[in-house]
Amino acid sequence: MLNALKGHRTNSATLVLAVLAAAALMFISEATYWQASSALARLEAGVVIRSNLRDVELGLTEAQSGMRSHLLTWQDDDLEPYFRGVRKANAALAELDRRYADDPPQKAKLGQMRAAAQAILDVQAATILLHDGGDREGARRQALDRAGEQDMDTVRRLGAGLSVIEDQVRARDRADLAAILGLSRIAMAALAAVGLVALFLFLRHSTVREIHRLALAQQALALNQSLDGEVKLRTAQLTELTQHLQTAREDERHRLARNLHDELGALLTSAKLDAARIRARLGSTAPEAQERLAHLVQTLDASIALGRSIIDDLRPSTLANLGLVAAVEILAREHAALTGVQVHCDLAPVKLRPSAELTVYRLVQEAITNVGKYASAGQVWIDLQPDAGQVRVCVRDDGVGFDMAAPAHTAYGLVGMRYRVEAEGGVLTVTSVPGQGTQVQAVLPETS
Amino acid sequence: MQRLQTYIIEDSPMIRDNLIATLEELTPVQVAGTSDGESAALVALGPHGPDIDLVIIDIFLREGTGLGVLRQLAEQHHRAKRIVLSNYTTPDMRLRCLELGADRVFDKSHEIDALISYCGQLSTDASAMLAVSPS
Repeated sequence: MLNALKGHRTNSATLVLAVLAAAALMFISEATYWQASSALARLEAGVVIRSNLRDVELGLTEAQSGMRSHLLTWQDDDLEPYFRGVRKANAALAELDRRYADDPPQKAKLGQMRAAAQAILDVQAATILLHDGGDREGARRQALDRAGEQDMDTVRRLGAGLSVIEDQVRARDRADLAAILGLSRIAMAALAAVGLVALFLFLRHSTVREIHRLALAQQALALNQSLDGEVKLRTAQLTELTQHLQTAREDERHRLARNLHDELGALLTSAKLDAARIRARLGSTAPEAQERLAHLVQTLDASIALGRSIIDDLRPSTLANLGLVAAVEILAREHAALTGVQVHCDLAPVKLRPSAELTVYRLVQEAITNVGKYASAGQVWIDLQPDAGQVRVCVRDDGVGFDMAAPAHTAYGLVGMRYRVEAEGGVLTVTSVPGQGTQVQAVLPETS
Repeated sequence: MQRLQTYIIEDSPMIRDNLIATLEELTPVQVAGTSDGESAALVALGPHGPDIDLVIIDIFLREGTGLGVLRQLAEQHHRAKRIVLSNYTTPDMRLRCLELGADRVFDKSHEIDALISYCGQLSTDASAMLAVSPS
């Protein structure tokens, strides 16, 4: 139980860890993305600024070159480069304006640059105007004036300064990007480690659970098997006991009969013999004594008769000594003599265990008794035949029969008989049709 | 009176002893031998045994049956008289014994007196026969 609880806590801890790890991963990933994106954007911007700074210089130089060519050649064609240059420089300055909109230091420098550039352009424009206006000399003078070079230097200086600043910014961005990527790398590694640990914990936990489950299953199986074994044992014991009880009664009866016959019978006979001798001795003397003796003999006779009937009920001596066929025949003849009913026997020797023989004997006895008591029959047929590994015994009468559906028929003493027949592995069947007689039939297995 | 040489086949010692005493006291019976089983009896009653005038046979023996003895004696045409003395004397059994050659059947409990009379009678008859026939 405690193990289960511990497992539960470990499970939720692991779950929380997993959620936190996922959140951290998301966070780091997003942060990296945004930082890297903006760094790249700035890098791009840096490149553009540098390009534009260069373009300012180039534009001014181009314009100057164009102007000088024009002065030399007096051709309008040469003004093309001049105009191009002017456009380039202005465009670059405009772009730089935009780019430096949020950077006050750069903006200041740019302002100075612009001023210088503008000055140069103004001079150039003026020079051209002079030339085109006819004042070639004036134009030439203006063109050779070194003052413009100062401005050009200013432009170059400022451009270089701004470039350096850009370089610095770029270097910082690169460093930032490297830092964020490095952090991301570490975080991912850490996350991977945490993930592995979590996985390990989880696997171990589920292995533990699996082992526990298997152990429980084995316990249950073992318990089941032992219970099964217990049940089998008990069933076997019960069956043995039942069989024992079934035979115990007959065995007991057998024993009693034996004792009665052997011991008691001998004693009583002996007593009768003694009585005979005493009577002979007494002769005609002592009539009272003779009377007593006669009474004594009567008592002895009664005892003998009682003993006999008990013995015979307990252990049919005919069965034990003459066999089943003879015993059944005797039953039949005695019943016929007693009741006047005609009894037809068709008996063949059969192979049965002694207990089964006794059961058959008792069955016929019971069936015949019932015929005598209830059937008012004129004829009885008794069959005893072997039949393909089985023994069939049948007692049939032509008496009044009974209604099989009526519950009273179980009172005909055949319930116990059915049990005894079944205990011998046989089947008892009673059939009857009112007015047409009754048949009691048992089928038992032959012994080998 | 001539004594009747008698052989008794009975498996209960108590009955046997008491029977011998009673018969020897009240009748001319002289018990020449006893046995409690069929085979021993048949040996004793065979050609090499003593001269026996009367055989008293119980039906249910320790070994074999009295019926077997009766059958054998009949086959041998033994000259002795055969009496069945048994506890089991249903009409059917009586008939069987008589069919097998028994001269009389007596019930051990009810017909002791009859047995005694019959033995006495046998002896008288024997004496009479001896007296009549020339030696």
